[in-house]
Amino acid sequence: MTLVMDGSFLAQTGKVRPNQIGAGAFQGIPMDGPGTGFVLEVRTDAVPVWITEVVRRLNIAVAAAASEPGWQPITKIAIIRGLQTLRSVMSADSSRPSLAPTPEGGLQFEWHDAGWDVEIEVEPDGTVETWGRHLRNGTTFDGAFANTSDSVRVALKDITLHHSDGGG
Amino acid sequence: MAAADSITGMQDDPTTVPDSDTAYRRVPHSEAFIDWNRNLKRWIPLNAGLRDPGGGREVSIYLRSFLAETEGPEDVASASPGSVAFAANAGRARSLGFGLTHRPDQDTGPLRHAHGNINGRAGCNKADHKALRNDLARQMTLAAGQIPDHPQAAGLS
Repeated sequence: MTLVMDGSFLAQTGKVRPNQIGAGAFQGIPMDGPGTGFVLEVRTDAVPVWITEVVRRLNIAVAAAASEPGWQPITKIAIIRGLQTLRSVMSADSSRPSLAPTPEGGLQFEWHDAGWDVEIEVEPDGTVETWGRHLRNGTTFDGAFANTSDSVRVALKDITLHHSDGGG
Repeated sequence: MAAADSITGMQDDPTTVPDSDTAYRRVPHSEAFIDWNRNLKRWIPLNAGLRDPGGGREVSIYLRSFLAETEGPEDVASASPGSVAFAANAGRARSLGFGLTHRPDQDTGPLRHAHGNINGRAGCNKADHKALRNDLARQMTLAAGQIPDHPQAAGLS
């Protein structure tokens, strides 16, 4: 499966060099290479169903960051680390995150649902941090993804269950 | 005159910006900055919609009390093509822990005279600021600008 992220803007500005991201689980990613556009190639049969929507939103976030005065373009390593992180915490039926750029050139995935605020922030250098809280039961987590990944999974599972139960 | 609270280090000026005032925040009309909140059943800014370049604790706003009689949230939105304006009550923002100040010198646009900031507390860590921004976003309502149907709003995702 090959999902093509609309690379027209990227190709025009050259702020992010055209590339292919080769990835079973988004591994072995060439950092530079020929081609036009920004192509996400998922080399696996186990393609997560959420990826099409995430890539759509990623395109919007890339364009949004590039059009805002003073905002840095989202770095390629932030995109790659972000996708890798989602791959490790989301299941096939997980609720899709909102996706926003950060002024510094990173990106942020957000879920605000079922009483949860969950944020995964990817810094421009690829560092991943998370933050979350449940507005009613007082659960919180905060810190490096390596230390909080289990908490993120629990929160996302809770959000997904809430919707499968018909919650809104 | 804005003053920094000696304990929190937060800039706040309740005399110039009373609790009854309204703060308008210009937000780009994009899914990257605005989200449909299923619980509130309305559009609110994402965290990114309340962040400005520089990574500071300030959120750039326009104050209703400093807009001319002929100016309103529509002008805040239209000052930057493709934007909408969200509104927050000054008193509600203060109740969350923010300060509000009038800062026309920080803006060069046509609504410079009404520019201000919503200020976070000094000494807050990054997690505190994330919580505050989320609280502020939930207080905000769309004041100007059209947002077309969205898959989430239509219950399609």
